[in-house]
Amino acid sequence: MELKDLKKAWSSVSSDKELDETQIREMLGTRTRNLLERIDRNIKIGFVLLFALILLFILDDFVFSPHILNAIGNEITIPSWLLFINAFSYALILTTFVYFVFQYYRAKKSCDINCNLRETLRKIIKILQLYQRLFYLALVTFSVAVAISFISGMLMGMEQSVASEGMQLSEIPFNRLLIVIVIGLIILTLLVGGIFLFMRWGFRRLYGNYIQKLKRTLNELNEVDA
Amino acid sequence: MCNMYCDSREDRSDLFQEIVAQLWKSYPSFRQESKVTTWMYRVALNTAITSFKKSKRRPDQNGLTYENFQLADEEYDTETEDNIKLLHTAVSQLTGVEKSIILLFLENKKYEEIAEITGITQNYVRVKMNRIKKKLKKLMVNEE
Repeated sequence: MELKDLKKAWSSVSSDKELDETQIREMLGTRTRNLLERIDRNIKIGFVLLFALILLFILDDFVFSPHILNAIGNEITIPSWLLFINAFSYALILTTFVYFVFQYYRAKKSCDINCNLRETLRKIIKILQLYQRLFYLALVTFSVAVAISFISGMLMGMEQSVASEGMQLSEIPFNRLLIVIVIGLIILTLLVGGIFLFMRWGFRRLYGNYIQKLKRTLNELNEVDA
Repeated sequence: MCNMYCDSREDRSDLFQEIVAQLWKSYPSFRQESKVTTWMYRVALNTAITSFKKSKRRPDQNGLTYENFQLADEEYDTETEDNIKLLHTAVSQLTGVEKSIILLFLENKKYEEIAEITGITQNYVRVKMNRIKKKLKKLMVNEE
């Protein structure tokens, strides 16, 4: 079969489907969100949640916890180094998140659906990579926060336990300290590592193949022009 | 386009819906710098190539089924039907970009317009078109 026959065959299967305005409106009414719309929604929800959580953590560190510790007459005070680490990490998370959101909207604005295929592919790949980085940032931050809370909780628990025995932290026998550190590290690694690996697996499963597919298509378009 | 990029009736319907939605949504931003049909093909092609299917790991690797090419309720003669079968088998083995270029060629678009829609140079469209023609001929000879 020659290519002209191919055209003839194609014209016989191409359909002309016409829709009126009502049909289009009905169709749009039942339509589900596409990928970019879902990412957009997730970023907005993420931003609101992040602000709410950071506000809650700040209130907890500087208002609720000292107040509760005072109220129950506990002599333990939150170490200032822990407060400093917390405040620093909140500032870091917030700044990075704002930076990513700024980059995201810039990439989104750079080209809309009216652009040619190559530009659209570039834009979507950039958005997805930013989204991926944002996801890993949130994941690492969460892991660090869990680790810091775990370590500080363990430290303060030990301090209290040792104080009830009439000793100080520096007076604990080395063997006992070693056992506590090893058990703590194992639990911490399992907890943080498990959560991190599970979330990363989920993200790769959901978007990994899609990003690869888009990259392959873009590479094909760049093949000869390069 | 939906026939070319989707292998089931459900996917075709979803893609058609998405293309119409994107056309409807983006019409206000159409700057009339190109022909309306060029803009429509751009939007449709962008939507088809970047469509995200959660259930399928490698959508481009799936072959098209003969059912894809039986939209119209017309009766075909045996020769046309054979050609359609041949067409679907050959097209199913092309990559996403190749499908887009051959689709525009089959829709009688000029190289200039194909370049404008895909964002590649006219020279590359020619090079790519020649490769696709050779590939299609080879595939069709093998099938015959």
